[in-house]
Amino acid sequence: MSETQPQPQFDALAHAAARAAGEAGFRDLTSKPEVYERFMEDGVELSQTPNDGGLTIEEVRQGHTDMADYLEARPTRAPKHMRDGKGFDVAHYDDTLADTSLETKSLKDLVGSWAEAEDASDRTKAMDIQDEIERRILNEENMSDDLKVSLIDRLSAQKDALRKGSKDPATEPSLRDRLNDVPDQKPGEGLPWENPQADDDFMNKSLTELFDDNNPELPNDLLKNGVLGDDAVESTDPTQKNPEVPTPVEQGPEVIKLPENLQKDLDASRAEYVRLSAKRSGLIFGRRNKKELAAAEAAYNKARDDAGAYVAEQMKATGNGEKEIGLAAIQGKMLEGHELAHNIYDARVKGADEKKLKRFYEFWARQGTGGKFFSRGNAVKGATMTGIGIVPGIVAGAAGVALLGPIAGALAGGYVGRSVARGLMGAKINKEADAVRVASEQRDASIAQTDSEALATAGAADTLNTAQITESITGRTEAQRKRNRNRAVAGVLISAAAGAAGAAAASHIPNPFGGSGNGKITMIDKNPTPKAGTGRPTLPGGSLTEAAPVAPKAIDITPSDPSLPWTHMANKVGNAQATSSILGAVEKGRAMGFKFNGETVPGVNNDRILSVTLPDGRLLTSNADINGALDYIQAN
Amino acid sequence: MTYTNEQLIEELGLQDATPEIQNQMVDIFYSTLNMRTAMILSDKLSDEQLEQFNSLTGSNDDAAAEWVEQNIPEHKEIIETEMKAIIDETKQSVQNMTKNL
Repeated sequence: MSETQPQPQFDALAHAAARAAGEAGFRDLTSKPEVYERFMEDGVELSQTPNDGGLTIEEVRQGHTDMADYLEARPTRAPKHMRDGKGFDVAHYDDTLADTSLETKSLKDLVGSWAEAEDASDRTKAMDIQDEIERRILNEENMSDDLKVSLIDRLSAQKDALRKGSKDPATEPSLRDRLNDVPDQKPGEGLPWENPQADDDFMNKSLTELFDDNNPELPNDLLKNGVLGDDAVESTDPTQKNPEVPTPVEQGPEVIKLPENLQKDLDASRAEYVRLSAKRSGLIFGRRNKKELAAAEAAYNKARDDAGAYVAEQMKATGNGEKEIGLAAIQGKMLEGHELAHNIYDARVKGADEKKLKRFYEFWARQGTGGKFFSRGNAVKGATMTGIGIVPGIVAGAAGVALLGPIAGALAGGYVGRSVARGLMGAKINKEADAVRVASEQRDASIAQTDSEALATAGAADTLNTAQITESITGRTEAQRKRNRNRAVAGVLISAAAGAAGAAAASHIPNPFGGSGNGKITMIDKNPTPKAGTGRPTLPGGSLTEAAPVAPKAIDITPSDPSLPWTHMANKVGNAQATSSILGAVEKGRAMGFKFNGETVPGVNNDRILSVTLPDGRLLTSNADINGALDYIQAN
Repeated sequence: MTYTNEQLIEELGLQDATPEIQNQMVDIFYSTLNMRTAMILSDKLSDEQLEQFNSLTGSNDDAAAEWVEQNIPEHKEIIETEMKAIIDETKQSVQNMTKNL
């Protein structure tokens, strides 16, 4: 650290002190952006620094060094001795003058706090810090916009560097990795209730019989045979594992799986692109990362296309034609593109600008179902056009198209899953796809029902036929299985990666305006009330006033423990009351619009809880969510 | 330009897909479009404008729509640009994926 030297002609310290004290004397310096920028840069090339006013190089060096020191340490308000005109000297800086508020922190400290806030997912604090940084920089009236952007760029990079020291997104497990870590259902097992491990006696029991508290074999029955929700493939609760059930084995050679490097590249580049894209936009922060963002986008595009090219080659090698490969590529790109957009969108909604953006995004989502701003083409393929894609816009109201995203993805993934689940692909993907398939089928049916009710009110029930979608998909994938296994794989390959994301979405479809980020699931009440006098919703292409429902009331469900529902209930009310409490909750839930799927399984005599369909039609399949729904029902 | 569903399916190259897939992809297209345009449009609004938007009365979408038309007059161009961008990106990506076959 250097001592302050008098600078009669170019007194940077005096300027800085004056500026810090809120005076105008800094303008002389900031009117020379290149000088100011160099003050902010480490390792400044002094030989290239403009030499104002006949200063010696040593004088300039002294000025730069002190300025850099000062900018790192300065509070917004200068200490009294500086305001008294004594100039700044780090040696005289009194730490006690600084307090913990943002306004008095140095830029360096602010950047550090910013990184800490982001590491801690403290969005409010991160936003406050960004506001403070932005305020200070914007207040530099004589600094050019480019220089401000450059300065922000550097500060943000410093923040990122600090963050990366403790958390590297590239090393975090991807969704696929996490899913793959979950033990798999055996290929070919098909539907959970087709579990070949199940005893006939168990399979023939009704729900009441199954949960007979007087049955001494109940725990063993459930452990051995129970398949409740997706967790039950292998419960995450170690106490629920049954050593008698063989460990699932890896599926055979028909898996076309991305090489690890391609998968990692895709996951990492997508995560980075999402991270940068989700940063605050519109003001100076939105401009700061233009180059960085472009590089991230290019990296992501390359990783995506490399992955697709690999799969396309594999498809060709397994006998697929140009048409099949092309269609798979289109679907894969669109699903992946949707997933990318959804990730960015979701990050923004849940980010620091949530309060500012929420209403605008909600409004805009409502426009997506045929509102004023989107002139969507007319249905061309008959009744099915009014199926899944449009329905959430009617039913979910405020969430509208935002909800449509993961649902549509899941449905497309459901097509993937159906083929996959029949043993056409490997165990790992099978696991993901099966979740999609089960979820999408049941959601499909639920949405059809809910939508039928909604449109029946509006006198338009005859236009719905989502069941046909399910039926046609079922027939199609069965046919595929019987034809050519490789060929059947081909139609879904490129989609598979996106389908995996769809699986997660289907089991936990987020309301981007709700709060799945805080561990809760936000649901939308069923049966939103259409605007009075609107008559039949015009879909698609209808006017906003005709189609938009009143925003439904959001309610929150908190996922509970992942134990089996009976265990969960027994822990709450005791073994003796567990069964009756479950039955009571199921009954009460039905009146509230919940539907516990598996109570009556067509073609199967036993009754079990496989999942719960929420009042808005969404499906939850994990035990934690099912238990959460039970808790919610009991509490309301 | 606006697209009918037939035009969109053709632009995306999905003529040979089943109706179910076509419909799902059209839905995904519009869902993607909605999210992308929401982000672009909101980026064009200052904090003050967003506050102004948020202060609009209740759930009056008509007023909100009018406000958007006044404050983001280029919204139509943005939507059309994004529609074309999604289509072009899809074409380009598919071309990249299949160029070595």
